[in-house]
Amino acid sequence: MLSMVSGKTFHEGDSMGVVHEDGRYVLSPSHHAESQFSVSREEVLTMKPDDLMAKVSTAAEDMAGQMERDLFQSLDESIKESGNTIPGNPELSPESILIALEMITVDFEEDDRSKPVMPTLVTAPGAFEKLKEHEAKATEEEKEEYKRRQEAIMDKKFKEHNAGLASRKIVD
Amino acid sequence: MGADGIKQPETKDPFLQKAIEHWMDSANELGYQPFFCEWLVTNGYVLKYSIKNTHFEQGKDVVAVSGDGTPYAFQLKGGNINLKKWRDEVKPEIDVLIGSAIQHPEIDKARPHISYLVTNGEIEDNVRVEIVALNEKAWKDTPLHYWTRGDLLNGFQQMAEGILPKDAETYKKLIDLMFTEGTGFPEYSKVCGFLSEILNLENVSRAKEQRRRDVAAAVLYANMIAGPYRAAKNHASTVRIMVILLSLILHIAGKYNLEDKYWLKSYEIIWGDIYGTAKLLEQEVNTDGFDASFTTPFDTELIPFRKHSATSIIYALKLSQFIAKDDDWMSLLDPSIAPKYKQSVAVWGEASFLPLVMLTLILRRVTGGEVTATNQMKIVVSQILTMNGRHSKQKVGLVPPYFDLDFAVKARYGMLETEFEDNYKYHSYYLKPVIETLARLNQRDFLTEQWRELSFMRFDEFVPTDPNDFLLWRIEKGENRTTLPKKEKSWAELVKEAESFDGKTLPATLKCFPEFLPFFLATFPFRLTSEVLGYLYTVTDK
Repeated sequence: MLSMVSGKTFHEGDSMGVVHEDGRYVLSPSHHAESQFSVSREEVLTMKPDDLMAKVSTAAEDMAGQMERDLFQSLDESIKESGNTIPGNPELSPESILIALEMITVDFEEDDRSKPVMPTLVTAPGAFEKLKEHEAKATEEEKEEYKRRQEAIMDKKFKEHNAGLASRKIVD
Repeated sequence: MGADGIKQPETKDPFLQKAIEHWMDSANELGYQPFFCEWLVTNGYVLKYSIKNTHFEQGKDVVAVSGDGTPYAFQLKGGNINLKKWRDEVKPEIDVLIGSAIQHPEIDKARPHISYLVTNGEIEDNVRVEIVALNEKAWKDTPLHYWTRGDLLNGFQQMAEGILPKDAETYKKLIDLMFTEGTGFPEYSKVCGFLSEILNLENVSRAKEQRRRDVAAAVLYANMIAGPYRAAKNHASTVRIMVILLSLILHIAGKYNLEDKYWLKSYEIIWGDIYGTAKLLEQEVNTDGFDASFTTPFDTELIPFRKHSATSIIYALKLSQFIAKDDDWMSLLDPSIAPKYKQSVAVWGEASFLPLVMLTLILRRVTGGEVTATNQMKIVVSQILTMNGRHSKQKVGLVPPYFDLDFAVKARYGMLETEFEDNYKYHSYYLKPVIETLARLNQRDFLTEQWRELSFMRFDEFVPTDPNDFLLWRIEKGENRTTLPKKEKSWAELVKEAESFDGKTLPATLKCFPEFLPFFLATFPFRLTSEVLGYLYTVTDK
């Protein structure tokens, strides 16, 4: 998950603030993540470089895990706060993905209808397996219908995108 | 320096002795001049002026008045003085030093001054004999005194003794900083870290008198660190080291409410050094172009970066002169000089736009320069949108102003120690203050054209919890703030917002010396915010 997030380095400070377009201001403290590894005296005698690297990697994975958990927690809070959850909390399925698509803003690369910037789906392993089962069971007609509905949503999103572009302007 | 009631030192620290010796032996007169002035102030002299290599010095590099009101004039030299050097170069200047009165409104011309020849080398025996003979005859009424290497060494060590922490780690830091080739870029974060320790920034219970001694010690160590850069005539790096020193001194003066007597003279000495060294750089470029910036044929690839480093200091000098109403800023407009600066600004990150911002602040006030001024700001906006805007395909984009030239050079040549995976698409630190400048310049048509893309950007800035910390290299407590602009923006609101930034959150000590601010920004480019640019806009309006 972390590898999909574009990174920015903060060089100083202990908090992050966002002033939203509507003037809303959100301040969040920086979170600390740390991990440890140790090498015993006995290990020093027999340790090879690969063994040391393995310890470092384990510590790094532990830290990445902490950061991911933080990230999901923040995402979860933001989503709940903005009301961007699907009513009834349905299981992951082609239908719930279409409902989610309806709810979000979709960007289009170079403002081109054929280049939607589709969101990334992050799931638990079990949920993704079920989604694949849904897809495997679907008939060709169902798949066509799904594609048609998805394209209709994208057409609507593209209209919204263009309307959004037109609204970005300086007025008196 | 045992004369005039000044204490004889007791040097106990062999490392310190060697370190100061090494620095002093490798410095010319310009290299030790700031610290010599600091030494005078510490010993009760009131410094009147300290100048570098000008035609107006009349044999007097430094003029000071002792506690009893006696004026002193000093001619500073570097290295040994043999008979040839004495007769060809030094004696004619000493004749002027002794023979002409001190030109200073606060010094009575009728009162004879005491003349000193100072060198960090030795005066050979036959020269001493000649000085004695002259003192007995031609200079009988106003004899020449001199201080040589041993006197300076003792005096300087006396100042440093007992101030430097005696731990091996700090020594190592000093050695690492001092023993460098001097042709490249210093590691500014390390310079700042070391000087912060010497100045005891975090020690809240330090007595004011101790702070004065800390300042004196920091001046010494900063000069030792700058030594290799001065020796290599790397003026841009020398200026930046001294700017860091001055910023930290202004920081402690503000944070601990120090009265002027504890730091103001040091400010004047260091400021004089920064200004004089920047002028040396300007003279060098105006005379020989940027040739001196490249020391070997292997530097070819670095030409744009080195040119940029020098240009940002020279433009800071020009803006500083403009703020101080010193007509020297007009050399910018000299048709014989201006072409030398063509293509001297390379784009490698957001900080690289700083020289254009400085030029804009001047040119907007010059008849016929307004169009160039606004065009430069428009170029900055276009470049940021191209590199970091929503259509950008750049892997990284323009890096924030926290990344310096050293980083840019290493990144370009694959010399970074770790892979750099940051991405700055949609983000910018400079865009907001630049948009506000264009709003002040009434560039509504341009901003209207660009607003669709500008409104997708996220404006970043750092807001320190304590405004005094603004002068620090890195600030522990503060907010990394991102502002999302309105999709539909009112022009009246934009102009009103732009005009609301006038420097009210800047440290008072910094606002006392607006002419220092351009140099501060050339060294701390990440401190260019709406408030700073608004303040500069205001002070250049006057």
